[in-house]
Amino acid sequence: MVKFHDLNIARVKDAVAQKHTLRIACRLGYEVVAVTTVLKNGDELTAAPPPIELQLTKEEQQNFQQLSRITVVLSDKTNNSYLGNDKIKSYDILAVQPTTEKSFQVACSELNVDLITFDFSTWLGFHLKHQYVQTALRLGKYFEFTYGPAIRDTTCRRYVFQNTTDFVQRKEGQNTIISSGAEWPTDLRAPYDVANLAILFGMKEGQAKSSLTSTPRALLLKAATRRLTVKSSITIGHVTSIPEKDKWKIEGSKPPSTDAGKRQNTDDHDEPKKKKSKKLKSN
Amino acid sequence: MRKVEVMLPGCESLPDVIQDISPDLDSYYLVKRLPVVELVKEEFVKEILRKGHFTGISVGTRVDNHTVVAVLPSGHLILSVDKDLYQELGLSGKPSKYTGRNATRFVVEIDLFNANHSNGKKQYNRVLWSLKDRLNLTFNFIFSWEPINEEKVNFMQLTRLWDKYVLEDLSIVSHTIQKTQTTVVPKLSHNQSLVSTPGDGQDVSSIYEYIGTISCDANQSFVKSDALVPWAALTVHGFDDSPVSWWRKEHGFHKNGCNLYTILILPDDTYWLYMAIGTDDECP
Repeated sequence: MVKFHDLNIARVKDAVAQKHTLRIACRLGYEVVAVTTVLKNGDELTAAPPPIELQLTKEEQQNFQQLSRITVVLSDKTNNSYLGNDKIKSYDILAVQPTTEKSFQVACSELNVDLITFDFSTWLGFHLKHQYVQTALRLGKYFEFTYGPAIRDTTCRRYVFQNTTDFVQRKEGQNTIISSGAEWPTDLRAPYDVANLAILFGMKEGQAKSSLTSTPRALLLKAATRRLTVKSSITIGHVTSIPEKDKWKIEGSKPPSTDAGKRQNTDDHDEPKKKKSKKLKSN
Repeated sequence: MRKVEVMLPGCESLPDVIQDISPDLDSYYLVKRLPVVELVKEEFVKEILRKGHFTGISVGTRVDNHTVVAVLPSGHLILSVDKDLYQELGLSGKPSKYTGRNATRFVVEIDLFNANHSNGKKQYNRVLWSLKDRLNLTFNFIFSWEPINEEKVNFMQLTRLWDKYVLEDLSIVSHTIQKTQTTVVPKLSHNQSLVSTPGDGQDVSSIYEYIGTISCDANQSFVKSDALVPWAALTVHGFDDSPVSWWRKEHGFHKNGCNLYTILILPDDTYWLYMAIGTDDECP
């Protein structure tokens, strides 16, 4: 088991309310939180904004990680060609929200995205075909439910339950994460309560908890491979970029310092270090 | 133990024993940001662990998400770590029983009283290397220590060993007496039926529920009334996020970390023992 994640907290204009929401999330026990920017058709794409200063205590700060996420709303007419560019890559997570069946198919098969999310708080307008879902799962994409709307409004709640139970039953909750989609602090619930809610959506006990812990973590690692690796397998960095604490990991490959000391000085700094990202499939 | 509750129904004034209860206060402490390596150093084992009952547990970390460490009087140091940390730790452990087929949590047990756990031995050096500042394993640590022989060696040694860290005296073991106005007390006798007969509210599990509701300060209207029944219940609460519970068996946290027991004493010296077992807990 790993930390509790909430990978969808809405970015709102009111800075005070935003801080408050994040602080509440921290206090409820979430340790990894992503602030979502929604990009609708016609909006201008900007690079990821820096994390928001929260004035937490030192211990809270140590355990709290704030990420950035962008959710691109897809429709048939959207031009998807920019999804690989550097501005998009500056966000930690790339999610898409298809609004039509055609865009859903494209999101599941062609686009290189991490997460597919839906607006489950209204009638979806199209059918989630099993075939497309299977393709997406095979390609290692993740699906997301947001429980925030279900707390805000009773009509939304009905739709959320209807859509999610339907989806979970057909797919058995695999590769699914649950997040809040919170705009206000009142939309948030504590992780154990959310796990309980997930059981009401039809998930199994273990799945319900892992949809808040290990599945989002696997998603983040997948997102990191999309952003930072060559062909999803290799990252290259200079030895000097390794923090002091992690130096022991490469010390084994160093020649013994007694007789080969000179050679070491010349070679070691020029050779870039190759790291294989081993933990791609951490589940 | 984290908390002890004593319940005495039908008792007008508290007996003196309970009134001036003062647990041995000078043996209950909190150390802030203590590196785990301090707990395995030979000096600590020799001077402290072998010379008394030392029990300690890390606080503020959750056993289902984080790393938790505990030291038992039997000389075992138990570390419950997640998979990421386990892979970097370099000590062998067992996969946790409660994480399914693909273990995501591991339990590492180090026997500090082992002959190999002494200066110069390979195993000792390995443990030191693993737990030293490499992985940032520091915890807020609660411990109690009762030296076996009553000589006043004790505490000074500990402060000398750990003089770099903030040591806080937790002597304010709070102690509240609460008078519950209730006339509804179940009647108990030693030949009480141990089998649950639904509906009468007098079987063993209902009684436990009754004790629970009183302890939570809830309204208890489901147990039949009978005043003046002398029996007593003593509940001991353990830590929810402890990596071990009964007899060094593994303890986990799924939705709750039930870790408590109750002793119910009847007038004819019959004792009932209730043990609460959580979802991720092994039946003792």
